[in-house]
Amino acid sequence: MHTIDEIIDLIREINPLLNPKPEEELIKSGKLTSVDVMSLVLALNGNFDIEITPLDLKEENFRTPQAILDMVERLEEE
Amino acid sequence: MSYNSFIYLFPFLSVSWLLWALAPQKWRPGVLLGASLVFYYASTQRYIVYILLAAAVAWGIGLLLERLNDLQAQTRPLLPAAERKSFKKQVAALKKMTVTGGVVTMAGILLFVKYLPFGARVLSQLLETLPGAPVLTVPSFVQPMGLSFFTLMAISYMVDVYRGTCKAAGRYWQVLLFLSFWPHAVEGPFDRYGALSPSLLDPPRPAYRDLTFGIQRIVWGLFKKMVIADRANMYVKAVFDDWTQYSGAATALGVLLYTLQLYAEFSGCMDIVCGSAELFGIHPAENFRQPFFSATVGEFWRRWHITLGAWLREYVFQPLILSKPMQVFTSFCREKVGPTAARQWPVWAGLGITWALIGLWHGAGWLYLLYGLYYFALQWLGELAEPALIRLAPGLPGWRKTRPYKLFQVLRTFLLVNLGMLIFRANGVWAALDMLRRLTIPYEGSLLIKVDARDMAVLAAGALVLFLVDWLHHRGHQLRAELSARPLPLRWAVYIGAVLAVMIFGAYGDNYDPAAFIYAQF
Repeated sequence: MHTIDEIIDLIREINPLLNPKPEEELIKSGKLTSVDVMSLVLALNGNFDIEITPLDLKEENFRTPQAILDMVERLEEE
Repeated sequence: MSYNSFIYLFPFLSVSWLLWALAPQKWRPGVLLGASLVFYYASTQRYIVYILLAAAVAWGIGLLLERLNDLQAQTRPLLPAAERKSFKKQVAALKKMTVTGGVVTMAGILLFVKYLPFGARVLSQLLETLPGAPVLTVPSFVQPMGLSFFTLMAISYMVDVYRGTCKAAGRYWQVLLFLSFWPHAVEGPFDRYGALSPSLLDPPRPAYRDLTFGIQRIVWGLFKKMVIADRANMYVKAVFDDWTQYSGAATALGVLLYTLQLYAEFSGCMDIVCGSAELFGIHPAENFRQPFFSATVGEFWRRWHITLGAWLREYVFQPLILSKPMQVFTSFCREKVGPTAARQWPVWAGLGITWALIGLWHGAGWLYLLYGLYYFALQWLGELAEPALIRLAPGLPGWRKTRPYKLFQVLRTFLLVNLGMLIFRANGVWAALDMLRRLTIPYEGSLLIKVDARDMAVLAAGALVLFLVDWLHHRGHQLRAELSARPLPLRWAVYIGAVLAVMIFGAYGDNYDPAAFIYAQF
């Protein structure tokens, strides 16, 4: 099990100006750009035992820190 | 058949619409296909074979992928548990081979026709340095209309079926209609099969609102193309073709007018094609969202030629970052440099390749490559400089929320985009560099180059109208919907005024040299 703080810390590493709440919207608001998302994907692949594929690159998986955590836990179970 | 020609606007569009409106519902997609093929054949004659072939490949690959999905769904549950995993792996490998075959075929057609002569020229230049090396010559192929558009749309169709984000088309004509649909066949937008096919294959019934909204949008597109872009073209052509004759303000005005010309023309073309599709109740993807109100060049490219950026992001940039070689590079960065490099360097490498492809998509040549890499350099340097900027000016994040800083950002982006336009339009890399140098040399002649004071006044007024419309859209107004709610006399006064503006101020006739749509050549 992972915590939401691990995800938020990774987001802060990508963009130090961000300190999002677990349910804070990240994509539509432009807080994370497509370049930031790919940096985050590489960080997630490196920090957790998962392999994110192009099929996982959907807006709903990166919408909020909580959605990212849900995706990580789902991919770890697969 | 140009989108602003009489033959397109009157005989072609009106006959197509009448046939479509009078046909029984089940025949309407057939009318759209017939009209698309007539449009395509009238524009390219025998080169129509390319699009027929592309549709056949995409359709075949789509069906094969669908069969493999069905095979997996039907067979896997019947297998013993121990064999299911390996069966799934086999099917996945077959699917990957199938889609790769389709993508390679489509990209191969594009590379062969569009990029082979450029590749041979580059190779020859490299070989020239070796004594006794052969000179490579490759015949140039005629590039069929819209090649760069329908091949990429065919790729997105196959990949979407592979990824399961859209269902495969059952019939060949359905894919052919999607690829050859005349409103997006020449200059885009890059539509997706999953988004467009429901209305394309089962179009809504003819509606008064679709008809009037479609006509409005076509007239607005004609205004941008004929009143603004074609008039600006006269000045732009003179300054860029004889760049050594001009400098300072004359060159700067030429660059500024080229930016205006390209925006008015390309977005105007999108208005004409989206308006044309709207007549039939079909809504292609939008390609522009007030790009000149962008705070950064990254944002600019999310608002300018939106569907090209989205296509490259989804089908090149993202798969590239997640590819096996990039994973190896990521591991290398993590082990040899550190975690920050492991998440930044592969993304930057992917960005560099994607920007180079954006440049080269516009044409096979060094200038276009330079154009793409110019934007990469801006984005990359911006990201590199960000931490240092924050250290130098800790108040920067706060200032960015203020109105004056936002205005500064918009003006800075506008300036950088204009420099990019100079590279894009110049007659070669050296001409671009020389024009940049010439910007610093004062110009003392008249600024009325190939245009008179009336032309300049019309251009200024047209640009002001364009700016106001964009500004109101940027502020959240839905101008067409708001206008349709106004009293009839006011509505018709605006419509008639717009048509008269095109007729009176449109740049056509003996004194003008109307330009072909710039993006049609890509």
